[in-house]
Amino acid sequence: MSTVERTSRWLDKVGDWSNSILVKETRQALKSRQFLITFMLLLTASWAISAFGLLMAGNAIEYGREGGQFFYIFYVVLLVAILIIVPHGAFRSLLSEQEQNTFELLSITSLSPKQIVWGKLLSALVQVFIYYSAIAPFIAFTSHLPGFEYPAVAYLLVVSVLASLGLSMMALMFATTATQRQWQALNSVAVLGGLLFGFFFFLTVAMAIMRSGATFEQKWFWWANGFGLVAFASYFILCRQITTAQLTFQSDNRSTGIRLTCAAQLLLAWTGLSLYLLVEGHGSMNRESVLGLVTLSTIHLSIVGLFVTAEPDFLSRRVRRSIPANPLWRLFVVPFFPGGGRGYLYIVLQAILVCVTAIVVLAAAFDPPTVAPTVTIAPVEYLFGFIESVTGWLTGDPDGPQSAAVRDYLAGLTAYISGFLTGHEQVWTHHLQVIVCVACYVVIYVGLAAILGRWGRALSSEIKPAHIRVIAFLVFLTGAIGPYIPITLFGPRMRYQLFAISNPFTTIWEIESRKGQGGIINFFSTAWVSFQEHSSSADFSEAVRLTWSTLHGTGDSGIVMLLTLGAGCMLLVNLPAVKNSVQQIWFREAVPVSRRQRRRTDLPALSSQSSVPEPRSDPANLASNATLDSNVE
Amino acid sequence: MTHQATSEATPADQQQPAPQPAAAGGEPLIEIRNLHRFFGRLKAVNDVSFKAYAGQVMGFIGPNGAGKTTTMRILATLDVPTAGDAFVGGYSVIDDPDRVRRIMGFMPDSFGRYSNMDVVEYLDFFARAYGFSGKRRRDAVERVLVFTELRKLAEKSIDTLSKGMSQRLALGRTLIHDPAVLILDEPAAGLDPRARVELRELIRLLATELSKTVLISSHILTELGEICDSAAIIEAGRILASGTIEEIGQVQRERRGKSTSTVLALRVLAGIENVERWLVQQPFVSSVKVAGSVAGFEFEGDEAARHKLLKALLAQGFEVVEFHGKSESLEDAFMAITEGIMQ
Repeated sequence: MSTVERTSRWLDKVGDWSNSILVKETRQALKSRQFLITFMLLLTASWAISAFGLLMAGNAIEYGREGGQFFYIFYVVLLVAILIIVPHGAFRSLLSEQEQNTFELLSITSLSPKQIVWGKLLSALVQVFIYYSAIAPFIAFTSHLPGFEYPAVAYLLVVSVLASLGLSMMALMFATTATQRQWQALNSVAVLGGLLFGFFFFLTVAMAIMRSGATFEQKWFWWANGFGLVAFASYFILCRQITTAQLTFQSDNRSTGIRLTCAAQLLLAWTGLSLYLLVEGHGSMNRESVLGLVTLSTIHLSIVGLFVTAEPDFLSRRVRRSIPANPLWRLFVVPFFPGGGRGYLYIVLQAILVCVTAIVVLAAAFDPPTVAPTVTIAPVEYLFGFIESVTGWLTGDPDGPQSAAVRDYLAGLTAYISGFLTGHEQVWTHHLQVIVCVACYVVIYVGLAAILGRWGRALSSEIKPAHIRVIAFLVFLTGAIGPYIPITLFGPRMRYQLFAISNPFTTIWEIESRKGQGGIINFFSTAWVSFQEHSSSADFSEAVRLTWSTLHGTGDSGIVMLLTLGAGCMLLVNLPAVKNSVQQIWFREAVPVSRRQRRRTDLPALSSQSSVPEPRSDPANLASNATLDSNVE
Repeated sequence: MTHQATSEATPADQQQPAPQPAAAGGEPLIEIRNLHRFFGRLKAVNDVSFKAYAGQVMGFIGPNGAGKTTTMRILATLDVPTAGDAFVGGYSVIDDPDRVRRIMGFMPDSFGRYSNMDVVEYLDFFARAYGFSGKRRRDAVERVLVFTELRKLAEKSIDTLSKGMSQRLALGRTLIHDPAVLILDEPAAGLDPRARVELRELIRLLATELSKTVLISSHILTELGEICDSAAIIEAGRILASGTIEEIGQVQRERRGKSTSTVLALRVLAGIENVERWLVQQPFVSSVKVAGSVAGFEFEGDEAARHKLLKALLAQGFEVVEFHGKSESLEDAFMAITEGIMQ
C-alpha cells in the first residue's frame, strides 16, 4: 500500500470519527470564494508588509526594535481574518441553514443540536488554524528581528484564538435568535457591528500589551487572567446552551441547561471572590467591591429572570418523563425545570443565596466591628455565643485558632444582624441595607415579569414569551426613568424623593451615600410613637399623613422598609403560581388548562385528562393522555 | 387493504392505548390519532385521524391551506401538535422523535440546497448525519446513486442540477438511511411531464419492490391516482374521507343515498345529444353528463339491467362503439367530496 493510499485511508477514518457538520463545513469553506479571497488577501498583505516594511525600516532593521512593530502589523491582518471574517462566516453558515430550509433536514437526522453547534464552531476553528498557519512564516520572520518579545506574542496569539472562538460562538447564538427575515437582517447588522467593536477593542488591548509588555511577573495579571478565563468559559458555555436550546425540538427541555449554567456562573463569581480574599487577605479589597459583586449578581439575575419567568408553565410529556423518581432529588431540581413559576422560584432562591453569601463574605473577610452590647442585641449575641461554643466543641479545640476564626466571624455576623435590626452600627447597617434592597428589587421586578407572563398567556395564545420580555423590560424602564421626569422638570438640584423608589439605581445610590440612618426596629418604633402622638391630636388620615412625613425624615430605613414590604407582597402574589409549579414536579403532573384557554381552543375531551397525575412507567397512559402542547414555546 | 373508509374518528379511537412499535405487516406504519394543530385562531389541523400500512402508497390530498403540510411536518417531527398524537412505526412523534426519525424519511417541498457541494458530497454528508461510517456509508451512497440513476452526475455540483435531477437527489437524500416510511410533500411540483413520470415510477418502485410505506401529497391528482393504493382527503383542517379510492367513492355514493350505483360510460359515433335525451328517460339512470362523444351516467341496476340497457341502446339505432363501467377517479372523488372551503 502506497503512502498516498495509507494517508487517504487514515484521513477517511478521521473523517468518520469527526463531526459530520465539521466535515461538510470544511469541504464547503475550502471551496468557497470567500475563503479563497480572504486567504489570498492575507498572504498578499503579509508579503506586501514584509517587503515594504524592510524597505522602509532601512538600517533600523539591524539595531532598532522593529520586531514588535512588524508583528503588530501582521497581527492586525490576522485579526481581521479571525475576529471578523471567521465569526461572520459562522453566523452566515447557521443563518443560511434556515434561509435555505436545510436546517429542517438536519434536525430530522441523527445529529443533535449540540453536534450541529459544535460542528459549526469547530469548522470556524479549523479556518482560524489555517489562517494562523498562513501567517506563521511571517511571524517567524519577525522573530529574528530585535524587539520581538516571545512571551507577549505567544500570549496574544493564544488569547486571540480564544477571542475568535468566543465571537464565533456569540455569532452562532445570534443566528438562532431570529426566524423572520426582518429580524435576521437586523441581527446581521448587529453581529457585524459587534464583531467590528470586538476587533477594535482587542486591537487596543493588544497595542497596550505590545507597548508596555505583558506583566507576567505581577500577581494581579494572573488573577485578572484567571478571572477572565473563567468568565470567558462560563459565558461561552452559556452562549452554547442558548444556541443549542434554540435549535432543540419544541417539546424537549430547552431551559434546564441554561438555568444550571447561570447558577454556576454566580457560584463561580462568588467562589472566585472568596478565593481571592482568602489568598490575598482582606486588605486587598474594600467592602464596596463585595457590594459591587452583589449589584452585578442581581443585574445578572434580573436578566436571567426576564427570560425564565416568561416561559410557559406547561411541561411537555418528554420533559415530564425526565422528572426524577426520588422525592428529595425531585424537590431539589424543581427550580431548574422549565416554566415561569419555577423560574421565579429559581431567581428568588438565588437572590437570597447571593444576600447570604455576601453577608458571610463581608463578615468573614473584613475586620469585625466593635458593637457595644445592648439589651436589644444581647439575645442575638447569646445565640451566636452558643453556636460558637458548639462549633468549638465540634472542632475539638475550644481555644485554638479555628475557634478564634469562628469567633471573629460570628462576631462580625452578629454585628451585621444587630446593626440591621437596631441601626446602632451605621457603616455595617448600610451595607446590609444595600444588599437587602438590591435583592428586593430583583424579587419585585422579576415577580412583575412573572405576573405579566401569566397574564399574557391567559389573555391570548398569540402572546409569546418574547412579547412578555419586551413588555416587562418596558415596565422596568418606566420604573427607572419615570421618576426622573418630575425631577428633571423641577430642576436638577431637587433632592431624592421617595417616589423615585421605583428606580433601583438612584435609590441604591441614595442608601449608599447616606451611610445608614436608623434601622428597622428604629423605623417601627418611630412609626408607632409618631402615630400615637398624632392620632391623639388629629383624625386618622391626618395622623397617617403626619406619621408618613415623620418617617420620611428617618432616612433610608423607610426605603428599605417599603422595598421589603413590596418584595413580600410580590412574593405573596406569586406564591400560588410557584406552589402550582412546584406541585407539577412534585406530583409529576401536567398543568390543568384554564377555563379561558379551554374555551378559546375548543379542545374536545382533552383537558379533563391533562390534570390527572400520570404514572411514568405506563406508556399507554402517556399516549392516551392527549397532549396540549399549545403552550410550548 | 381491508381498512374502512372513514371521515370521523370514533370515540373508541381516543381510548385506545399507544400502539407498540410495529414489527409485523399487520400494524399500521403511520397512524394519526385525533391530531390538532392550531396557530392562534386558525385551526390548521382539526381532529385528523388516519392510518397507512406497510407497502402502501397513500395520497394526501387537499386544496392549498387544507393542513397537508402541517400534518406532514408533525409526522416528520418538525412540529408539535396542539393535541392528539401521531405514530410512525408505532413510535409517538412527541415522545420518541429520535426513534421516529430513524425509520422515517421526509422530503419537503423545498429542496434544501447547500452551495459548493457536489452530488456525492451531498449524499455523503447526509449519510454521515444519519450516523453511517466507513463502508456502510459508502454503500448507502452508492445504493442511492444507483436507485435514483444519478451515478452519471455524481461529481456534478448540486447548484447546476435541473429541477428534475434536484428532486431525484432530494428523494435520494430521503432514502439514504433506508427508512421504512417516506413522507413526500409535493414531490412532483414544478417538474416537466417526463420528470414527473420518472419520479412516479421511482415512488411506485419504492412501494412495490422495497415495501416502503409512502405518504405523498400532490395537487396532480391524475398522477396520484395512478400510484396510490389509498388516499386521505383533507379540507379546512378536517379529514373528509380516507381509505382506498373505491371505498371513498362508495362512501360518497352512500352519502348521496345511491350505495348500489355504478358509473357507466358509452361512446357513440354520432348523435350524442339524442343519446343523452334517451338516457335520462331510462329507469336506474341518473346524473347523465356528456363530454364530446362520450356520455357518463350513474346506473343503479344490476348486471341484467345493464345488459338490457345496452340491448335497448342498440335497438334504438344508436351507433355505440364503447360501453363500459367507469371506475371513479381520485379527481372525481376529490371534487365530489371537497367544497372549496378556504381558511
